Amino acid sequence: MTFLIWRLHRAHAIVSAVVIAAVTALIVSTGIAIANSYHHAVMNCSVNHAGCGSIGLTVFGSNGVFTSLVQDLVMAFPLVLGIVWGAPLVPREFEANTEDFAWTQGVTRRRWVLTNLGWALLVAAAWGGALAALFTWWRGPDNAVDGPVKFTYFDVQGVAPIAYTVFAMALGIAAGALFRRVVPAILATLVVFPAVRIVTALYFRPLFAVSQNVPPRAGAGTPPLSWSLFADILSSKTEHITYLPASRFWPVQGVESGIFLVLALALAIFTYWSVTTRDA
Amino acid sequence: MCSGAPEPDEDFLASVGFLAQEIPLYRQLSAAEHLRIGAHLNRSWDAAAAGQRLTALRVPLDRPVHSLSGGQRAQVALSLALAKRPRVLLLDEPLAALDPLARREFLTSPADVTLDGDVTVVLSSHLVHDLERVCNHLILLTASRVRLCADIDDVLGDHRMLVGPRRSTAELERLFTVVKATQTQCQSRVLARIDGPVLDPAWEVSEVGLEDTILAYMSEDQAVTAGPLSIAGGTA
Repeated sequence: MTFLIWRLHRAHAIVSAVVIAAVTALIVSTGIAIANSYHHAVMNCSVNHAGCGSIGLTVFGSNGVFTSLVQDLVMAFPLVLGIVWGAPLVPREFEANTEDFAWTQGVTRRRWVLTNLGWALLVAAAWGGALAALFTWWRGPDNAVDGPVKFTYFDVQGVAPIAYTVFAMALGIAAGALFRRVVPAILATLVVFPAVRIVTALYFRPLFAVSQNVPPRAGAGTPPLSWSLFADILSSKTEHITYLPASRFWPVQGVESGIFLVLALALAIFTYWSVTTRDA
Repeated sequence: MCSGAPEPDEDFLASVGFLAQEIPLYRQLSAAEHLRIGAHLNRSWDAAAAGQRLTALRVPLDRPVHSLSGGQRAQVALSLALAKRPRVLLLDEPLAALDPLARREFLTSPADVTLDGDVTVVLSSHLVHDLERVCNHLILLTASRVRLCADIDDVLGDHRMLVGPRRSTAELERLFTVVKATQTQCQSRVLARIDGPVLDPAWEVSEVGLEDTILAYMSEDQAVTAGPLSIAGGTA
């Protein structure tokens, strides 16, 4: 089975490896540039007592384009994997009628689907993990200045990207098993993955926020490095603020990873059911 | 094996070879790569024999199968089905897409195979004439029902065309199985399955070919429900 999977996905694997290498090169080169300007800015501040208030601006002003480019690439990576590998996995057999070959050899459909799911999800986890590790390092200076919990900052580092990638892969495969056609499977993945991610990030993640009344201060009412969600001036003496503190980064990462892994498991079970019970 | 739905376990899969109508192959892979994949997916796999078979047929082993002709692709798929060394080989209308020459070449293959080993080939097709040469047992299905199940020699031996002056076929129906009767203004033509001599001298009795017999069974059923014809020829 593994040989068949390797032979059929060899081209995918090579192209993906090239893409990963290119993205890695981009992350490493821009990461080093960002780290250098960060260290210069910090040195300038501590030695010359200059520019201490604008470290963020100094560092990211010069790297802004790359920062957002890299960030977007890493955000889109799970979706790309789900579309390129996940969605066509089952339909490519049906569209070429090769399920009549693959499913009539000495390997049961059960083993076919479990081996395919196993490898696809394992590769998704490995690549998601590799990118997340690189990007966590890349964001070091930015985390120090801006914190890790803001929307889009949170989503590209830590362990959650691994779960997102596994989910995207499982979603693509399940959509393929459902429709048995490549194009509808890709479209479904394109719609459902961003929808679930956005709903989770914007509506579920804020459930972990902290709400408190503070004396209103000009500008920064919320603690540094946190994700400010809501601010309402109640009176001249109190302001009600809601924010996700940086200290909750790991708990929220854990919970969100759990949610996406459970969703991925449910989709994998659906795929197993669909492949083993529906007529060819 | 024919009672109830087969259990999809590996023993069952190992004993059945299957070649579908669409000739399922991975377009971008070569015959040799298919043979390597098959070796990984099956317990018993005779890649050497399959390779020799294809070489003898001058089918290139190293080219992607999408660059082969329809007949060559069918041969690759058949060789893969045979490499499994199945006990039963199911060929589901493999001839449909082939030109007459390729069809004839292809049809000699199952016959050769059955000479070598203990394998039953079940071949379904609409092309009656082709099957007559290679099969020795016939199962005729119309609308999913078995209409006829017999050795081809017996089918040919048992069926006769009876032509005589126009008259009722009631007497014949009492003695034999009338498959199809057509009445013209002055003539009766009856295709019947007979198991004894036709004694009435008014009937002129002649032998009838396999195709006509099958068509008679089909047209008889067509009044009720039209269904596709499938013929399974078993060579054991």
